[in-house]
Amino acid sequence: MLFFGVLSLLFLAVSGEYCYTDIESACSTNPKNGGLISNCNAKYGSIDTLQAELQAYANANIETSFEFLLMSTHFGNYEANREGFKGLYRKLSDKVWEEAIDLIKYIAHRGGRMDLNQLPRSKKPIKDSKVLELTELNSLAKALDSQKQLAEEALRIHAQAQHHTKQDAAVAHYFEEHFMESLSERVRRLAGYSNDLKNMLEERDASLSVFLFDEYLKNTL
Amino acid sequence: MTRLLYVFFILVCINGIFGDGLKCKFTIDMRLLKPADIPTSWIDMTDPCTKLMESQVKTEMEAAMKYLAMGAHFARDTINRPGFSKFFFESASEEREHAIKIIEYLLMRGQLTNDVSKLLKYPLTTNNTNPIRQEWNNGEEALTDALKLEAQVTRSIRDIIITCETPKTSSFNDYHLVDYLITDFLEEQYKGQRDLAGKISVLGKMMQAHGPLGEFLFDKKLLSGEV
Ligand SMILES: [Fe+2]
Ligand SMILES: [Fe+2]
Repeated sequence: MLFFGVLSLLFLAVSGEYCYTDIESACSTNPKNGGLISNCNAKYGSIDTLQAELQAYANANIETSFEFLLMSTHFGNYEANREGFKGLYRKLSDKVWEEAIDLIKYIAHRGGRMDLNQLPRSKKPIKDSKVLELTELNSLAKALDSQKQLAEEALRIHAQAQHHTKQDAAVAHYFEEHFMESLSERVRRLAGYSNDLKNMLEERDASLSVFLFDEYLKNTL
Repeated sequence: MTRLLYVFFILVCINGIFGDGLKCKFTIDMRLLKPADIPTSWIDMTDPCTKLMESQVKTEMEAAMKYLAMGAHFARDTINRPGFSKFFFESASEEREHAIKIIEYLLMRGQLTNDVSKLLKYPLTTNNTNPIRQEWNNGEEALTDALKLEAQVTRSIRDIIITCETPKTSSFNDYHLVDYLITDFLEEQYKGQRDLAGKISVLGKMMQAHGPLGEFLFDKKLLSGEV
């Protein structure tokens, strides 16, 4: 009996982390390992080292989604009353929320687990988080900065996935497909809006410029 | 520091005057752009009622986060319950929609004109004192948790109704808001709770007799929308 125990221990040590060995020992007539099959997971590559980054990034997306929702809310009140801005930020909030959920699914897909209590890595650059006094132009600037920040963060994680000693092209690929294109597109659009509106504000009557621009935004939704 | 900023501002202004003439002007213009003169007599929600509605936005979003945690848990490789995961992720987005519906209602009634940032602060719950639960022993336990959560939300909606119908500060009965909450929110709460209770009942019986096999079968039914 003791001999068998020592033998199986040796066997385990040699066999490394294999589900097959786990199953063999767990389901034999004489189960070892307490019947645990801890190696029967979906983990490979460097998901373990990247997991915390992915969790933080998913949470950063949730945070950004909240922010956009509040910006949308602000422009929806009767005093601001900018349907176009309201719609623009609502759409951004929806998109970023969906991207967060998709990333959470991807973490699970790779054998990881989501941690909603993991705080986002990067602090928001805008010290004054109040949405209160955001003018239309300020809001575009803020939106642009925040999307850029997510884009930079995505690039950083992508680079880490690619240049990690244990490369994980799968994570890198996921980021390329789900974040790179959509973020660059949004960053470009917001930059364009910011410049358009800023130039139009140099007209004598700023209120008319904002009105027209808001109407334009509404029609592009 | 403020003095430095002030000097900087003046420099920018001077530059504005001699250089690109209107650059500085519009910043000032935008600051001075006063809101139009709108009568406020149409804004009739009472303070305690408004406060509760505003906090309901957070309550709904907290529910969304709890469902997110459930969706994430059941999506894991070693848990592998795609039906449950799908169900909970969908619930999460529904709860977010509820938060948005409350916001829309408040906007319609002339509310949320100042400092909307207090509506939702990330993270909603402070991680140290009240972390989000992220693990469940099985599907039945999570559904039971969900039902308890919904019952709490129902109670909180009822509290809003009571306060908005008979606020302590005045005799203003907010008929429209109360009607909206009853027909739109309570309706969904009661239907949703009945649905969850039914699911727990079916799953509970199956798991009592068949354990993981019962849960496995139920999960696939959930996935295809058969239960
Ligand atoms: Fe809800
Ligand atoms: Fe609900």
